[in-house]
Amino acid sequence: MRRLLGITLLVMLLPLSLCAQTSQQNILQKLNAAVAKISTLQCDFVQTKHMKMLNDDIVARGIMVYKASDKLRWEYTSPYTYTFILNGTKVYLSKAGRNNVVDIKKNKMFGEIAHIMMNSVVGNCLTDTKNYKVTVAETSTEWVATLVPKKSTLKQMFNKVVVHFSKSNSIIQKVEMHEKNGDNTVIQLKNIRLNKTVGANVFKN
Amino acid sequence: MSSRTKHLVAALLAVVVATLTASVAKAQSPTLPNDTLRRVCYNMQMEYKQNCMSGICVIVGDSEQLTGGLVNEFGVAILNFVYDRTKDKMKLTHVMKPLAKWYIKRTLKRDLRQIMHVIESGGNEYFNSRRNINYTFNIMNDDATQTTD
Repeated sequence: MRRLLGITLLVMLLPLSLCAQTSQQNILQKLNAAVAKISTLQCDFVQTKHMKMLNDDIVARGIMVYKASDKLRWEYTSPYTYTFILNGTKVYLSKAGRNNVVDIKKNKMFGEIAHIMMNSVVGNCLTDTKNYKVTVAETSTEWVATLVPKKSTLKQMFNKVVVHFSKSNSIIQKVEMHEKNGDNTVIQLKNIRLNKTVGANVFKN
Repeated sequence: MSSRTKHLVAALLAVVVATLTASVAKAQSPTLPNDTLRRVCYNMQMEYKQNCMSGICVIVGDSEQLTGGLVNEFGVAILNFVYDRTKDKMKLTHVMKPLAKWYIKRTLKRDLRQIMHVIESGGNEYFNSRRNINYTFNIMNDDATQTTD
């Protein structure tokens, strides 16, 4: 009798789990299709870093310009000025008149940070199953993708990255990066402009 | 004007200029949180050989204890610390993995303690001559620094 009950429950629950998986796959397909259409993305951002130990926040503002598939300009304008330009395998850093160039082939950690930033703010990370375990949840207004790093270099920096997509246009609205020590960084994208012309000079030092 | 009057005017002018200079210097020089200034933010730079690490340092506290955190510009935590001002003791509570070697932590702990002394006395730069590491802390403006209510 118990055996029969167990088998019955298994048979009932199996389609439910299959449904959930199918639903996740459908959402991921939709999101990936939307991300694939992005050739350029420009926006303003507000970055809020919450420091758990201090129970305090640092708020920074800036602008972002992305050009598929390997160009990103991430520029902080307030309260500090700092520019990060990823152009292929080179990263150009500029702060207070001091310029540095980093080759991400030679500096792995820097390369990881550069690609996390680019992939998470655009949404390319959803297909990066080699480096992340991806799960998707749904609310009334958003799809929320949770990415748990697999690689040790990424795990050193983040427990998980949570990406919020608007259901109305499948575009990223917010990225949360959760660190092992309890800190988190939330990046809110605003004033998003898609697929406008972007000059090559934007990604030069 | 007699020479005596000229001397007096010159002396008065010197006092005025010195006072103005001191107040400007006080406004611009770094400072640490205290009982009326809860939080201070700094632009931080650490130079070692040909490498340079920059970021933001946030320190909160009062006249007895300070709690601080160093993050890079992207918000990735570099280290957290607690400084007991009464006992002049520095403790590192978190250090990012690449820097979490015992000899690096020991150097950072000692240097941060010295940096607290330097900032408290109005300076913004500390040079560890033994390890050839130069630290610069410049106060960040406006809403990054909060007074108590």
